[in-house]
Parts: sequence; structure tokens; C-alpha cells
Amino acid sequence: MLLMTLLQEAGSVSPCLTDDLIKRLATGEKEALAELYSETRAAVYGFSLSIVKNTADAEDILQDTYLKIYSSAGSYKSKGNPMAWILTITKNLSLMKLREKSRFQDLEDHEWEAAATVEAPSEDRQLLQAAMCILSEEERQVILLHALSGMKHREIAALLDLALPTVLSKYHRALKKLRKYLEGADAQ
Amino acid sequence: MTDREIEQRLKQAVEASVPDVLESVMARCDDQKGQVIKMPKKKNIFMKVAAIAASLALVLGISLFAFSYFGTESVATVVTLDVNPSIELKLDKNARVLEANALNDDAARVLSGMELKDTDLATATNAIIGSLLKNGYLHELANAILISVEDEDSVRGAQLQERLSREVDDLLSAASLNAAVLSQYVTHDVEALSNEYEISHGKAALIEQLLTANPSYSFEALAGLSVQELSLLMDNPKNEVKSVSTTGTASDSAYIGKDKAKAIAFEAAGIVEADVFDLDVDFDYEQGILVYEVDFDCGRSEYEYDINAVSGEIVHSRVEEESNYNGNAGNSNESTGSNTGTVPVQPDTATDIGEEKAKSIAFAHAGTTEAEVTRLYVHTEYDDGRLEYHVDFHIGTTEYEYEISAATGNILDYDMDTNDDDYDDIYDDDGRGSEMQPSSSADPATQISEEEAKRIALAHAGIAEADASGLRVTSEYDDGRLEYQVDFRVGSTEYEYEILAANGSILDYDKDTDD
Repeated sequence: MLLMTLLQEAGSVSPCLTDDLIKRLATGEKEALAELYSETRAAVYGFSLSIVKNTADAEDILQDTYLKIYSSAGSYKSKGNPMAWILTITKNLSLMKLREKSRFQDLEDHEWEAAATVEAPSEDRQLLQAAMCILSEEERQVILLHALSGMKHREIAALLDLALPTVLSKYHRALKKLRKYLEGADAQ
Repeated sequence: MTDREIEQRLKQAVEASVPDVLESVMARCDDQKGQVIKMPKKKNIFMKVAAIAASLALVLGISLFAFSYFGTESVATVVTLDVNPSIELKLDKNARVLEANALNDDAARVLSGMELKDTDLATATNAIIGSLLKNGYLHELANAILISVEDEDSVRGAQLQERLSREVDDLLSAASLNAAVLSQYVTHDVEALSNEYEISHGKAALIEQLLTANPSYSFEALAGLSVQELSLLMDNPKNEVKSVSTTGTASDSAYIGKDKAKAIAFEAAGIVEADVFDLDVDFDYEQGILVYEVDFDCGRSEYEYDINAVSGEIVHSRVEEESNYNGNAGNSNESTGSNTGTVPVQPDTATDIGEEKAKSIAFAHAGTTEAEVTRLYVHTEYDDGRLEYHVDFHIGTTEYEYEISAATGNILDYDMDTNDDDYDDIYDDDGRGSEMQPSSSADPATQISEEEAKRIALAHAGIAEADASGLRVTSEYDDGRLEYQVDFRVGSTEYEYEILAANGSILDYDKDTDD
């Protein structure tokens, strides 16, 4: 686990390691699931949250994603982008969840507060909340994916089914909006 | 706050709030499989040890650059050649080629049909340069090549670097090409950067050096430039990069040239070259394009123009006049240049419109009056030595922000935000506006096209399409509604509009003047 922490702190999730874990999972090794979960849960949760916009559903999808990974690990074919495979599962589950709901729910303040153990300094939490509110759908998804999953823009484009220039444009717009928000917050 | 820092904070926030569902997942996995498969104890330990060993090897690989990279092959040196095509040569200790790899599509074209394995470096270099010339990657207008050498043995590496530079230089002279040959010895690990931006080690190392010299650039932006363009940037004295040696100069014939850039700048300023002093013209990279930066002083004013190196369009301009600050009849004024950051003791009332006027300008532009607004907030700010009024207010749920020059009353910047995201659910009675699917009330008859969205935006800004540059229209669904985003630039001012497709109403607009 120390190693995992080291790699996580290095800021990037090594695709080779993830790939390896999925393959081990396919042989029935459950420890691999624990490691995989630890490594990728932030990306899965963050991405899911950016689609469903409420924490209760995102938590459900978090669980369902790993169950699906566990059951489909056998059919995983290594193509050099395991993160994309995992997040495609997350995306599909999230979109299905949305279709189930007859009314889309915005991220209300009290729901956000209800999120389990929030250890982040409150400024970071406010930034995340701002990201949920002031960014558009795609801007939110692109920026969270880029911040959490280690995927490159081109992979994000493939995952979200957008053109690469669109992703780059949304990414920069999102950063611009967030920077503006932060400058406003600082001034207060 | 850098982009990376913003992303890092988002990441931290999510990581801290992810609920821990592992136990629940594991339990459900057991249910799924029906039975927990118990591995015999011996095997368990073996697999655990194997896993740890594999992970340790990975750590070693990351930290001991030389070992993991050069590995078990007898690779002694790695040379990369970058123009636009990016070619990597792995050499053994006798400078024979073990492997030749194309790092991008252009390079694949250059290397196709060539068998370079087991040849000596001189032969391989000859073949590659020949192919670059033949395939048109090196010519009068694109004539800069970067040679990067990585070697565990620094002495051998330095020797190879020198030798290669000379050889390439000779080859290009023989082809009557005046080229810039840049060479560097790469001493540290740029693997991560190289992978993230999908460029060679050599280019990553070069860009890293450029960024150290000039942190205002971004890695992302520079990664897309050719070696030619990077070389031109390095000519700018403020971007001095000592670790790269250059022979020759990169051609700038693809661009309008320094003389033309100067002429454009002087014309815009309405002065002649004879009257200026401290003139400087250099390449720079601003707002995603290569520009000529023309700086000069005239009288008691400082001028700065950024001119698109290809089109000659003035991308950004700034004029700083000292004459505004004559409050304390010019005695012990310390700053010799412009008064950036100096706060005048007595604001000159002739050049300050006052808070009331600033407010009325803002209200007039927004089509409202002070009585109708809420949450009014007015404050002043100095920007580049200029006094500005910032007028912020709300009308209903729409937020307005204005930046107004205190001296002239010009609106420098304005922003309008309908804030639908925050208030939609609270004020929305029928629930239709907040569905994810397109709203069923979208009337195809009133839905506007991209063309119309563009026209609406331009009309609101009071700009003719011919005067707008970088005009772009994209569309996306936001909260279940189709919206158009229209972006364009006029000189140094950027406009952004968000327009509802259903009826053409403007949801959000932003005007940003670069000062």
C-alpha cells in the first residue's frame, strides 16, 4: 500500500499497473480489486458525480462500477488504456441512472454537505462545488476527468465521444471560469 | 493560481469526499460468485511476494532513469532528432545503431523503407537528413533541427553531441541550406513530460528549459510548436536558454519579418521610427500564436505591440502614458519609467469621472437604473497604473459586472451571467426546464441556427463579421437545453456569447480587453 501511496502522490496512475491489476482480477484474485479500487476510486467517483450531479447516485455508481469490473475482468482486452475501459463502465452506468430518473436533480447545498467524511480544506470543497455549479456539463466532465484520471485529452475525447478540439476548448473554458471564480473568492 | 494547481485542488476535494464502499463491493462480489475461492496458503504468499517484487521493480524503474531506460539491451546512448518529425536512435557503445524509432507519423514517413539497424551513426545521420530534405521537412522556411543526446557517460555524450552537430551542419550546408542546428545534452529524466505531451525526450527537455527562462509560457502551448518556432522564441533575449547550443539561425522567412512588424506598430502608434528610442523586436508566443513583440519608447510614453507573425494583425497593444500622473507637480518622483503600481497622492479630478458617473455608465449599458438593481457593489482598482471602477450588481437572478476606466469612462470589460445553474430548481415550477433530455417545449419554428446565433452575438457586440477574427460557433446541451457558444476577437478584445438555441436569447456574454 505504501507503494500505491507513492505512485498516487507522484500524481499519475501508471497504466501498466492498472492493466496488470485488471488481468489479475480476471484470474479471480480479489486482492487485486482492493488495490484497483484504491487507485481509481477518485476518478470513478468524480467522473460519475460530474454526470449525475448528486452524491447518493454517485456512490451507487461507484459500487456498481467495481462490481462490473469484477464480473467483466475476464473479457478485458489490453489496449494500453485501462482507465478508459473503467471509465466507460462508469459513464454507461451513470447515463443509465440518469435515464431512470424522471427529474434531474441539481447539486443542492445540503446534499453536498451530507457527503461522508469530508477532510478536504473547505476552500477546495468550495472550489469543487463551484465547479459543479458554474461549469457546463461537458466542461465539468472534461476538467474532472483531466484532473483525476490521468487520461490525456485525446483519450477523454474518445470517452466522451467529442472531437479533440472541442475537448481542448471546453478544458480551457472550464479553467478560465474556475480561475475567475477563484480570483473573485480571493477578493472577498 | 496555475492550471495545475486548480486541478490539484479539485482532485484533493474529490479524493477527500469519495465514500468508502470497498467492503460493500467485496461482499457483493462474494454473493455474485456464490463462493469465496480459497487459495491454498502457499500460493497466496507466493503471489503476494511476486506482486511486491513486480511493484518494487517498477519503482526502481522510475527512480533509476538510466537503468530502466537503457535496460538489458546494450544501449549506451539515445539520440533524438526533432524537426517536426521526431526520430529516436538507440546506439551501442561504439555508436552503432541498435534501433531506429519513429516517434510520430511524420517520422514514420521519413524512416519508411530505411534499414538503419547495425549501421554506424554517420551513415544513419546521412540517410535521415537526406530523407528529411527529400520529404520536404527541411527547407528554406523550415530549417531548424534539434539534436538531443542522452548518455550514461557524460563525456561520451558530450562528444557525440558535438560530432553530430558538426555532421548535420555539414550535410545541410552541402544541400545549400542555411540551417539552425540546435543541440543539447539531456541530463535528467523527462520521461513523464515526454509521455504526457507525446513528444520526444529532446523536445521535452528543450521546452522545459524555455519554461525555466520564461514561466509565462505553458508546456501545453509550446509542445505544439515546431523546433523552428521554438528556436525563434529562444532568440528573444528574455528567453535565454544556456543548455542548448545553436549554430546558424532559424529562418523567419515564413513570417512577415521584423521590419514589417515594426512598420505596422509605428503606423498604429502614429509615429515615425526616427522619434523612438529603446526599440526592441523579438519573437514571442502569445494567446496561442507566434508574434513579433515590438517595444519602444516615444516622448514620455511606452509602447508595446504584439503582432501576429504570419498575418501582421495586431493581437495586443499597450500604451502607457506618464502624463496622467501629474498630481504632485513633478518633483521627487522616484520611478524613471512608467508609473506602474505607483498610486498618485492627489487624483487629478480632470481625469477621474467619479463613482456616480461610473455607476450610471454601467446601468445605462445594462438598460437599467439604480433603483432596479440589488446587491450593488462598487470599488476601485489600479490596473497597470490606471484607475478603474468596478461596478457589480444583480437584476433578479442575473449578475452584471463592469470595469470602467476612471479617466475616460470607457467600458473596459463587462460580464453578464444569468446564473441559471444556481437558481433553476428553486424558481422553476413546472420542472421542465431542468430535465436532462431536450425540453419537449422546444419549438422547431423558433429554434435558431448557428448562423443566426452568430448574427445575434455580433449584433449585440456592435461588431461587423468582417471585423471579427477567430470567429467560432459550437453547440452543446447544458441542463437539457441546446445552447450555442459564439467566440470571436476584435483586436485585443475577446468576446464570448452563450445563446439559447430555442429562441435566440442571450444567456451569457463576456467581453475581455487585454491590458
